[in-house]
Amino acid sequence: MDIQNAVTDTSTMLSRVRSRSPGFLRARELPIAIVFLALCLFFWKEKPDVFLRPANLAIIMRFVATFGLLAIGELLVIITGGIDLSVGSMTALTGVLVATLIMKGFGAVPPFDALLGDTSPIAILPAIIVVLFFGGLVGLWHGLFVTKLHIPPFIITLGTWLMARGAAAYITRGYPIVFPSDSAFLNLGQGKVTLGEGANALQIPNMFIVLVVAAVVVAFILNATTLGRHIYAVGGNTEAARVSGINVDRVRMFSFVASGMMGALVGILLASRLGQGTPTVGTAYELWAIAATVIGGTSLFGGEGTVLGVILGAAIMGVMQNGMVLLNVSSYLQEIVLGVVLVIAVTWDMWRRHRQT
Amino acid sequence: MTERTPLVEIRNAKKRFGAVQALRGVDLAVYPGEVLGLVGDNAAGKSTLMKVISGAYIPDEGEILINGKKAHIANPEDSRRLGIEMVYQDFALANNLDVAANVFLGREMVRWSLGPLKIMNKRAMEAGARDLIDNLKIDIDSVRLKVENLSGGQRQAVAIGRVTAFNAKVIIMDEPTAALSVAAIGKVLDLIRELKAQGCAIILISHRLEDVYEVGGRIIVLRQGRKVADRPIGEDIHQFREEIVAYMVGAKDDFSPEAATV
Repeated sequence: MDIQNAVTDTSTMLSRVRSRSPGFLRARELPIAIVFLALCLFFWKEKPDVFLRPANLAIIMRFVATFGLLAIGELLVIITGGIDLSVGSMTALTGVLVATLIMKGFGAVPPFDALLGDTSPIAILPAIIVVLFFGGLVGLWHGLFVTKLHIPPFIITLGTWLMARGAAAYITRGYPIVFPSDSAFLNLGQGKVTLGEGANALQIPNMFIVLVVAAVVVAFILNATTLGRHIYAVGGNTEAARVSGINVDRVRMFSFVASGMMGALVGILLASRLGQGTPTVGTAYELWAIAATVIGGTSLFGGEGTVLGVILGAAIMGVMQNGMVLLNVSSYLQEIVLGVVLVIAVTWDMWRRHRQT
Repeated sequence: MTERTPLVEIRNAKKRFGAVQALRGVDLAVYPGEVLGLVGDNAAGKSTLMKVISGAYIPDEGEILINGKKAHIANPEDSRRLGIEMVYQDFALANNLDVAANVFLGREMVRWSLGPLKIMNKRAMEAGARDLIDNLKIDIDSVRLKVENLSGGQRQAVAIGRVTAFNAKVIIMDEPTAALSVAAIGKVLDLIRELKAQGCAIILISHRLEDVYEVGGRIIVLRQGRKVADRPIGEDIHQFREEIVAYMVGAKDDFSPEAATV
């Protein structure tokens, strides 16, 4: 009893200190940020002439953008106590869909097509919007099965995992749909914003800017709005949320719709980056996204997790993979290392949680 | 009883679930500023009766009156709007959120609305929670502490404090001291006394007769869906205990003498 009280008192005291310290020192993300910086330092020391080169940083940023966006979607679903296994396959299907629509001239409707031609950015917008909407619809489909039919999220999203990639292959008959090299669409995934002058000018890929915007929006929702608080409440104690008058079903639906849209967004960005819509892209991406989310401090039991955390998680994975490539580590070994990182992250998180109770 | 109008009155409540008649016509009235103990063995109908009052169940028969006027309660929101609040056995708190967030859960203060998104006024909620905790003399250092870091007694206090933030006139507490240490139980009973002093009516469901004796002014005993006793608490604790147990097991019955087994 004495020890129990002591532990409770200590963790209460710690919690008190944490709750009064400035935001950036809050316990959760600090260790993750430290690990990230340590990794950057390590790889910079190993390969000082390559690591910080703008082109290399751009590669890391694109990786972080791809998995960070998916991880943000997973974050929302996982906080509410669900999981979304479909996002990898959805990137393939949505990439194929956006390619099909644009190549068939969707959106190039009169009078725009005469005025702008189908290489104009405005012409591609309708296709992008439709595909994003489609991603949301798939999320809605998941949400309905989970809330109304009480099908476990694992199962229903697993179904989409199978169906989406199959649909993508079916639509393309296995062949990629290639964009012409002058298509405005390619600017999305391949373009960058350059800051500064000369050889060391920082290149920020457009994809990364999309990530930053999405991250700010979702972080805002989670921290400042009632919806965000309800998302955490549903994950922390679903019954408590329900008896408090929170519409639990609506909150969970929102999380699945958001995750579906993230899958679509990444599918569009990848199709743009690769210059083609192909059914083979995104294999296992959902698992990498979940790994990034967990490394970023999200609890798989729900109720905890932050946007900053998951982006740092994706960044850790990105820097690790990039660094290992620079060091010529075998790609098989890379996957082993990333798996080890994931297990360490989860174990550390469980230990930390156990210590608190 | 006095000529006062009951804050909440339920008349002839009947509820059946399939083959089980959970309530067989129960009358209950509770007055402002009183603590009413509701006891009975398992399956006596206490929870069912409270769920009827709080809107979770619709009775098959019977009517509910608020301040003497007939009320229509179709769901928990209706009863909450009428000032009836329930504190659940497992506190119904989100452990991953802090005290202020839990106090205002589902009823957050909104600073402004951006379309479907409502931006919370966190500072006002923290201040409101702080005031609430202080008013009820609850011992919690900071409302920014996460609930999972509080002791059982503190959590129960937050759960009780939560319902008072919303002009609750009648607070139903379902086994509030069941999972608590002795010290914490004392604190919860103090809280109940404080609430009573502030004019709330409290219906206290408890297996612990000593708690009911300690803070209660009147007690109702249910047995197998019927009311068998409805009387003030006045005598000494041992006599009280004996009598109440007799009611609970069916040895005494004020409302149907011929049904008593002795």
